[in-house]
Amino acid sequence: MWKELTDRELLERLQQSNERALEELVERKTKPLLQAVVRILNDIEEARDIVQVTFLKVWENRDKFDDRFSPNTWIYRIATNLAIDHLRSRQSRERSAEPARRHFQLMADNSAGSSGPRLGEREVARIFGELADELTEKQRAVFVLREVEGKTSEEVAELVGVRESTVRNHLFHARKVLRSLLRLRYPEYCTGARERRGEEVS
Amino acid sequence: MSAPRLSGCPDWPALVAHRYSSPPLFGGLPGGLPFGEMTEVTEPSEWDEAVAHLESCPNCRGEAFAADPSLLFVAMPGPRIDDAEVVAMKAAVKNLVAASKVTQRESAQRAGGARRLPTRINSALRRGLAAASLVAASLLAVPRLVDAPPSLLTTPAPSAASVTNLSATTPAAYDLAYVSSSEPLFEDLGRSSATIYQVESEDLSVVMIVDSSLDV
Repeated sequence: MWKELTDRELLERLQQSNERALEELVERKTKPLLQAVVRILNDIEEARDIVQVTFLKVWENRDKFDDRFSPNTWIYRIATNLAIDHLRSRQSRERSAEPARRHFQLMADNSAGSSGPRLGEREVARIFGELADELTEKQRAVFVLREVEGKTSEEVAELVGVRESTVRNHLFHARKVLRSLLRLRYPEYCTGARERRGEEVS
Repeated sequence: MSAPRLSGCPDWPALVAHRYSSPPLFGGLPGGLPFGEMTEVTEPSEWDEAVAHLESCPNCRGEAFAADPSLLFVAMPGPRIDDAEVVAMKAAVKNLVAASKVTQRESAQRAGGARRLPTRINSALRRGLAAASLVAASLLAVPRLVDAPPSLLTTPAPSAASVTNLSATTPAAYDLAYVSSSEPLFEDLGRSSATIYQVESEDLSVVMIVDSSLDV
């Protein structure tokens, strides 16, 4: 019965303090939320904390849900803002190497035994983690949500809490920075030569 | 040398040109238009189709990445999230919600006025007061203490440090602190719901802290 309810119906039951509704929401949203937040933070453990707090805030603020928004957008917005705030509070940029390594390790664990394209994808994830540290928190979140998660500019604007024009501005600058850094630090990726040869990048 | 473009492959240099040639929307920024001349920046209509093609066609990747290296991240995979993560998340959220409820209840009790305490807390308080009364009564029954009339010791609320020194005090011989359930001796150790009772005699010193908000 719970599986058949829409997100909006679940939220209505949540507003009646029904904890079973919260459990169903956690069941549905954990995977996509973790995917998005890991990409923003480049750290699976921090992403877990953020997503846990997201669901807690959904519960504590269930009466404040504005039904002009979709429930999914509301939940994603809470998660995105928490992730952005977390990026801001990171003490040192020297930590960026550790999350990238942890992300790399996670990818390695997940794809143990595979070969070929999967190995190149791990390298891509590692490089993104390194270069994205040069972006502002909002540029990074906007880039991930728009380019990687594939959300529209309108959706990203709602999630990040800015105007659509601001989203496009952030995206413009994020692309410029990433393109410049890629050409500077990883010129081999700017020709696609390694992709064509299918080489593993050590 | 780049691979020849197949007939179905997009013209990547043309497609990505708008991503870097169009100015930022906000004017006044370096490279931006002055206010009043801002224009919308939109993806070409065939963009989504081109990105989908990129993810499945190895032939045009070289041209695409050369035209826009940031496309490297467009199809970046995320971590695999398995079902165990969902199970762990459910447990963690359940604990957080339970903790949140306790915190909210404590806050409400501190902030609220006269509230009816739950029955089990009431009975704990009654047991504490009963014990204090029994001790006081037994001490009163000792003959040599009859000469020392019971007296109420009223002291101002001590600091936490001073409370720990109470047992070291040596009250005058046969002085007895009479415990009354409605007149606690010490109060306000940073816990508004806590009441402190002390019973002292020459041979015995009892301090009881009764906190009805402790749900143990």
